[in-house]
Amino acid sequence: MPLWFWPTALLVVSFALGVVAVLGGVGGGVLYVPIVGCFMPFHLDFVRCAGLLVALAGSVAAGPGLLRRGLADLRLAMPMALVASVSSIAGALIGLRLSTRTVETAMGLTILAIAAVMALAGKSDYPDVARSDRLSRAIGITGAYVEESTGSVIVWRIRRSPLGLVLFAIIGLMAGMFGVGAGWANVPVLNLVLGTPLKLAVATSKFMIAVTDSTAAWVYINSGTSLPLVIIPSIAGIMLGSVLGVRLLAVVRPRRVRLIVLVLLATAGTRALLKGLNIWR
Amino acid sequence: MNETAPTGRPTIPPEQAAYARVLSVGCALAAVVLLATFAVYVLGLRPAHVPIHDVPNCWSMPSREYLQATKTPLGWQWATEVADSDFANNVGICLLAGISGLAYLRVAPIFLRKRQFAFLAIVVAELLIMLVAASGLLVARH
Repeated sequence: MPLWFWPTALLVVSFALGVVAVLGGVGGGVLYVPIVGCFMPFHLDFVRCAGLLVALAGSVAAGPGLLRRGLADLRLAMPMALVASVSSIAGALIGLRLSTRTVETAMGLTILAIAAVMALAGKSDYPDVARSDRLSRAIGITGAYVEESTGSVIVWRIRRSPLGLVLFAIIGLMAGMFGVGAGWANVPVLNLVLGTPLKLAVATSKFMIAVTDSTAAWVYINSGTSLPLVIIPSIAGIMLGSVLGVRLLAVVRPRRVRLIVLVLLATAGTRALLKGLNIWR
Repeated sequence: MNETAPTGRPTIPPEQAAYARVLSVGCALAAVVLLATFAVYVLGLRPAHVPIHDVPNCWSMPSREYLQATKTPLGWQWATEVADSDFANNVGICLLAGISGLAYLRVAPIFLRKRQFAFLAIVVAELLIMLVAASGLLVARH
């Protein structure tokens, strides 16, 4: 096989994943790690490191625009990101110590669970938060943004922040262990548990991935798992794919793309599980 | 609460605008460094610690075997060999991983000036965690 075959294939697959991720409303990492890790020859250690950096690059690129438009909120993200970034270090250290088969099995089950959560979890455009909780009031987590489609000002506050912090600790652990980013879980927790408007949840989730994944990424980098031939084509592919995905967003039916995302996740999750159980290597 | 402009429309708090600026500049810088170092690496303009044609023989190995086979150093020891074109890629990768830390560093004085001590404490805690993570002290030794 020529040297450039797999890096080129990685660029093409990452590009396609970048398109699908934007259209399907998920971060790139959750699709990237199981698909590249299970269908390409790169070892999961290198793929998880690249997965974290792919998610991180997407977040850093989107962050400035989301923050400037007020769609992502720094003060909402900071306490949640703090907890998640601590646990993502633990996740990375645990994940790198486990055997490959154990990681594949656990990742397979996790990806299948993520697909189930995505298929079943509801969403609420503007959750009704009658009263904010004591912790969020004490810190001052509340805000407002302009809903550009209507021009109205949306004032928001959050509830159940202690539960949210616990859930973000779990999300961080899984993100560090499997290198899958965290958008798939951030959004439902921000929207359904904390009660932030859906648009704010999506944007804040995208922005905070750069914080939560960075600590885990450092552990992977310092542990010698950063391979430029895997990382750079992946980042380039997914970023270029995201640009095309944003352009296609207006003309593609989201429900159909979401179905594609679910099928991809189910296929990759099953493949990872079967690989881990040594049924289909 | 977000600052509200006289028109009643909420405006972006200064710390959020400052954070966005750091991310924006850092992202552009990281992209340039990543592309430049990767070009040097793939074009063979500088020697690499692991010759590029040998990498496909190693990328299926678990990282511990890869590290042994290629004698790749852990932690920040690569920085002493940054002239090697494969390690030079780590400059852009580390910049990408470190942008959020720089942004947190930028907003700390703003929270201090606004006397928002809860957020200042969160910023300091996050910076410490990032520092520990980046330091190389937490390395998965196989």
